[in-house]
Amino acid sequence: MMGLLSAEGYKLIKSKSFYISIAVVVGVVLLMFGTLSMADRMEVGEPSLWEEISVMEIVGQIFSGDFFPCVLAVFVSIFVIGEYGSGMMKNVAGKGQRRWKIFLSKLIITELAVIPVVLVGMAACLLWSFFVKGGAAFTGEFWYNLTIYLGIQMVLEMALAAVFVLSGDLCRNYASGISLGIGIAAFPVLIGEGLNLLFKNSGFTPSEYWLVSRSVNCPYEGFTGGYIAESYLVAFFWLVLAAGLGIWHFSRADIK
Amino acid sequence: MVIKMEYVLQTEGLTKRYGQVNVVDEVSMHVEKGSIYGFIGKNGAGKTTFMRMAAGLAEPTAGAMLLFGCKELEKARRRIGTLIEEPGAYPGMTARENLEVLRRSFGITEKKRVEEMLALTGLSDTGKKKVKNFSMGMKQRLGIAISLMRNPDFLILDEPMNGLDPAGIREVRELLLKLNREKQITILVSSHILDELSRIATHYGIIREGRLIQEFGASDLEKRCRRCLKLVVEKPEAAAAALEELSIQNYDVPQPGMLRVFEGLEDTARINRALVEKGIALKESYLAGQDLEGYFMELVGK
Repeated sequence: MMGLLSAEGYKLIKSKSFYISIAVVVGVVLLMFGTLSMADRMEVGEPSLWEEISVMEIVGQIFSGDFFPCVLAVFVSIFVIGEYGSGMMKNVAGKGQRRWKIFLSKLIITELAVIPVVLVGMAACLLWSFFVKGGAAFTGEFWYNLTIYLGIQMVLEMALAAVFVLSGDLCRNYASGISLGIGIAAFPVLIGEGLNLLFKNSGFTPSEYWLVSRSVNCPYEGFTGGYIAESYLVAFFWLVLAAGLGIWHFSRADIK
Repeated sequence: MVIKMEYVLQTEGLTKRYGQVNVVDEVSMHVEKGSIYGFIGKNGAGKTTFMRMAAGLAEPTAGAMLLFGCKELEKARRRIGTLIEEPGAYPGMTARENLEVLRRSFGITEKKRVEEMLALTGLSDTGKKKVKNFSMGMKQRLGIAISLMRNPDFLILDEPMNGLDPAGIREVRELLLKLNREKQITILVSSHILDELSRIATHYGIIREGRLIQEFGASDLEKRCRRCLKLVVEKPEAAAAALEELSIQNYDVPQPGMLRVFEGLEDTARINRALVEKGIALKESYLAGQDLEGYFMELVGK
């Protein structure tokens, strides 16, 4: 298992798509700041946009949407599906390595890859916020709220990455894998909203239990212990479900 | 299945079904230890699917398989190396990096193993050239390096000479012979280049429409492929008597109405004339069985 993890880690370090994903995240953060700066300049006579918007709200612009899920969908699909089309999978599977170990090592390294992607995105947001808003914006409960918010977003994105690993393993084709990944990132939010309407009288909000919806609706402050625990449980549930289904499928499927 | 330790790979009734089609149909193969087993069949005959099952990449629908006389296939497969269709290598990485991934995956502690494999397959000087920029021959050689990474006792190679130029084919041939003779590696190899295969194989298996129709040794092939005059006649007994009169003793009757004559081939007109003069209706008369390719074509049809 350690050997497999070492190999997966080596592949990640050598993976161009990993670095491109990080660059895209930084690029989009810069783009967002550029857009906000333009909007600020256009509102002549009004109070500065940078005074009205908090750092947490800026961070939320990046994390509370489809952007991160889409970046992860593309990166994870390439990282996973590349194994089948032109990768080592057929040289490793069936050579004395248990299939579940192979799948799990891929999943673990993918999960670890999500961490720098999210952290770099967050760091880029904070850095540019510091430039435009100054150090005074980072006082009070900011760091406390940011830590909790980052923790929740991190586990939700990691669980989502596990779902993409599963979808990649099911598709084993770049086009369909990436399409399915982006579909998973975008459509269940709408479905969840529809289900909310269906259950509106029961007090049950199904969308709260889908990763992307929870990420989008995550508050910036006033976190309760219950909300934090529930978020971690939701992430854990999807992570275990995706890992279980992935191992089950990978153990049985033929490798071309 | 009777377990014989001299077999590296032994299958019985191995079947792979996709939908309603048996792509591999009850194949019972026997690959002897130390042999080079040439696996022959047309495209789509089931060679690759069989090899994928042997390599653990596809699950058989039915049948049994033993590797090194062992039913614990997962454990036994630690001792095999494979090259199935094209080599599985990351196109964005160099040959060295690809082998490094494999070294780590297999938990091989000796880092020099990568360099050894590169040297063995003549890829040491590829430097930073990425696999996507490799020629077909270089890719095949990398595939062989990958298959040899764990010092296997048994190699499964599917079309390893595919896309190679004559020099490359010769290199691969010599490498396989070297591995077989010096390291006693048993090899199961499929190829469409039957002339090449006949230069290295010690045993053959011919597969047609998923079924293994023949399995034989190289010495047996010589007998089967011996140059002969095939005579299709109405009266084989009379034809045999006519041959005896010509002092031809070396002939046989492989099937009713057909004689195979193995001597006097330098003057086949004399044989034909003698038969006609005896009033024997000669339906067909032709020279056949010159090489493995001819034998294979005769067996599976064009």
